[in-house]
Amino acid sequence: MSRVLSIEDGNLSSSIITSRDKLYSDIDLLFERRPSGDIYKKTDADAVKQSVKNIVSTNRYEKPFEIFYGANITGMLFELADAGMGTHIEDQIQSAIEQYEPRAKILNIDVNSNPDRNSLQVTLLFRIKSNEQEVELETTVSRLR
Amino acid sequence: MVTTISSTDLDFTNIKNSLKTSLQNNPDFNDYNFEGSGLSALLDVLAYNTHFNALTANMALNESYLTTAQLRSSVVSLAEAIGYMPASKAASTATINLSVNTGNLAGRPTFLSLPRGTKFTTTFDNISYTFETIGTVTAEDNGTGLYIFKDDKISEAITIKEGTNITKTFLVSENSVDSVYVIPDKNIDTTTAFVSVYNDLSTTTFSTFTDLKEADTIDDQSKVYILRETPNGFYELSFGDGFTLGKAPEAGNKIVVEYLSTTGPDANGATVFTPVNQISVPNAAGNTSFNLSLTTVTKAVSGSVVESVASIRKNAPFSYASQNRMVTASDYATLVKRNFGYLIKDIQAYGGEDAVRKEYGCVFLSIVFKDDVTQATIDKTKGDIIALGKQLQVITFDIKFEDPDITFLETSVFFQFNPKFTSSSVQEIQDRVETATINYFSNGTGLFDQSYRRSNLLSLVDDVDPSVLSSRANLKVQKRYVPFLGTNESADLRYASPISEPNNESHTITSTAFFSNGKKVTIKNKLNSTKLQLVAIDNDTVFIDNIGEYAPSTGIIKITGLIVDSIIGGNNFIKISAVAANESFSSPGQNQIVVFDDGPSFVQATVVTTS
Repeated sequence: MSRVLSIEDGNLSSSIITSRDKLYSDIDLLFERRPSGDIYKKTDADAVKQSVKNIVSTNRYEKPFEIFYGANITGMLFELADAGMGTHIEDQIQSAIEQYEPRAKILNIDVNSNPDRNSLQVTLLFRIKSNEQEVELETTVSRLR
Repeated sequence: MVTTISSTDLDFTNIKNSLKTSLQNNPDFNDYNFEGSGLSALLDVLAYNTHFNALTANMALNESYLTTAQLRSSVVSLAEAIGYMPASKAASTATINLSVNTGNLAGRPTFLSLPRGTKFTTTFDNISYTFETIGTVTAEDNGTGLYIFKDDKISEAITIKEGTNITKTFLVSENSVDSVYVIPDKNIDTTTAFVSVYNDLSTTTFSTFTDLKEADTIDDQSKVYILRETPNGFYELSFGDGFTLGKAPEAGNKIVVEYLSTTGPDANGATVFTPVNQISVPNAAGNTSFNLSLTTVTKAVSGSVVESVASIRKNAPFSYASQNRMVTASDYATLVKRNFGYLIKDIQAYGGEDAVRKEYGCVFLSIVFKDDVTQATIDKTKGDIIALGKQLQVITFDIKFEDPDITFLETSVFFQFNPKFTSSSVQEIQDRVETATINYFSNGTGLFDQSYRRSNLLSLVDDVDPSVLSSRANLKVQKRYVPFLGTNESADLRYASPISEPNNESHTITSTAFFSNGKKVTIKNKLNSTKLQLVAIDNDTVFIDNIGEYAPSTGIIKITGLIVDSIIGGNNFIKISAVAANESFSSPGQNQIVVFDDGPSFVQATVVTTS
C-alpha cells in the first residue's frame, strides 16, 4: 500500500511505501525455528485461528487458575455417542469461543461423530471481526489407540 | 492467632498481569490479552512458575520462625534448636497402697519386692486399661508376716501409670558414629523412659543414663541421653559425643530403652485397680503365692496428649530465656511449669523481698493446681519441685509455697425484663442470665492476674436477650475463716479489694452463722464503726461487743479473741462477707485470686412494660 505526503508536508512527488501494522501477532505453537534463529510467528487470521483451535482443544480444569477455560471436547471421552451429543458439543464450543475469543464470531459449527472409528470431527466456520475474513477450522478428536 | 508473613503479592493473576504489562512494550507480540493465544499459554506457564516458586519461598520463610511456623514438625524443630523439648504424651497417674499378708509363714524373707512394670487393671467408661509401677517397690516384714510396700522415697503411696511397658534394644555397631536410635512410637511417655547401657550382649550389669533435662553439668563422664520428637512424630534417642558432651555407648554395647506407651488422658478418673498377678513368696516349703491387697490413695489424673503447637510456641521462648537455670522469679515459674505443667493451671513466683511480709533469701511459689489433682499429689509435687530447685538453682534460695489467697466474690445481678420483646418466660431469661454470669466467672476469673470487672459482666447480661433492657450488679467480697473449734483465736483476713466504709444504715461486714460460747451468732460490724461484734441471731442483740476490727482502705479484717464452738451448715469455715469499696471491679494482688461463690449470689428480674 502506498502513501503520499502532501505538499505542506514537504514531499510532492515521491510516494512512500508503508506496510500495514499487523493487527494480531502470536507465537507459533509449533515452535519451528526460522533460519534467523528465532521462532515463527502467527499473524492476523492465523493467530486467531490458532487461538480458536487452542480453546477447542483444551479441557476444563486444564489451565491453572482458570478452571472453566476450554471447550471440554476431550472431556467427553467415554460419554455415550448418542443423538444429543453433537448438539451438546456445539453448545460448549459456542460458549467457550464467545467467552474467551472476542476476535471471532462463530458462523457455523458442524460436529460429525464417527463412533465406528472412535473419532469426532469438528468443523468450525468463524469470522474475524476486525477484517470480516471468514475462516474455516477443522479438527478431529480421536482416541490414540 | 499466629500472624504469617503475607503472600498477597504472590497472586497468580497479578503476576500474569505484570508479565502482560512488560509485553506491552514489545511490538513483536500483541496477542497477550487473548486467553486462547499461544502467548497467553506461555504467560500462564511463566506466571504459574513464578507463583509456585514465590509461594514455596514464602512458606519456607514462614516455617523458619517459631512465631510463624504452621507445621508441627517445624515448630518442634525450632523449639528444639533453642533447647526446648516439647512434652510427649503423659500417662494417667494414680497412687495406691500395696501390701501382702503372708501370715505366720515359716521361712519367709525379711524383704519382698515388686519389679518395675507390675501390672494392675482398671475399667473406666467401659474400657479396660492397664496401669504399671514405674520403679521397683519393696516391703519389709513387720514381724507378723505383713509386708507394706514402699517406693524408693520410702513412701507408702506408690505411683502407677497407665500404659504398656515397651522395651527396645539396640546394638552399637563398630562403624556407628553419632548414631541416633529410632523409637517408632507416637504414644511414648518420655518421662517414663529408662535407658540402660550394657557392656555387651551377655552381661547383666548396666549403666543408667538420665535425661539431659535433669542434668545440671555435663562433662566427659556424664551419662545423659536426649529423647526428642522427630518430624514424623516418632522419637529418637541420642547420646553425648563421648568426649566433652557426655559419655557415648561404645561399639559392642547394648542399649535397652524401657518406656510406657500410653493412651494419654483417656484413663483419667479411674479409681478401682486390681492386681493382675499374685506375688510369689519364697519360704521353707518352697514358693507360695498370695494376693496383693490394694487401696487407692488418689484416682488416676494428669494424663495428657502430646504438647500442642500453640503451647510449644508459647513456652519455648520462656524456657530459652530461663536457660534451664533458676535465677529470676519468672525462671522458677517457667521451669516448674515446664516440668509439672500437666498438674498446674497457673503459677506465680516472686522473691521474698517482694512479699507482703518480707522474707529475704527465699522464693515464693503460689500454684493453682488443676481441679482433679488430689492433696496427696499436691504434697508430693511440692517435694519434687524443691528437688528440682536443688538441681537448677544457681544461688541457693529456699523455695516456699504460698497457697493462692482466694477471695470469693458474691454478686447480686438485677435486670429489667420486658416480656413483649421475647417469647421466653421471665424464669427462662433469668436462668440464661444466671448461666451468663457463671460463664463470665468461670472463663475470666480463678487464675492470677484475672480481675472481675462489672461492666464486662453486665455487657454479657445485656446481650442475653433483647428483652433484657438494662442491668446492674452489686459486689461483696468474701473470705473463708477456718477456726480451730473451741480455741480462742485471732486472725487477719486480707481481701482482694478495699472494703466499703461503715455507715449507719446497713452492716458492711456480715458472716454465716456459728456457735460461740453456746450462742448462735454471726459477725457484723457495728453501725457507723469499723468495730466487729458478735451478734446473737435469735434476738439480734450484741453478744460480744468487740471481737476485732476492719481497715476499709487495706481490705484487712482483724479478728481477735474469737472462740468458735461449732459451725452451722456442715462446713469447716465461716464465710465473712464485706461490701466492696468499689463494686465495679476487683483486681487481685500478689498471690491472690478471685473466685465466684454461686451460693449467696443471685440473679433477679424486674418485669417492666416500658422499652
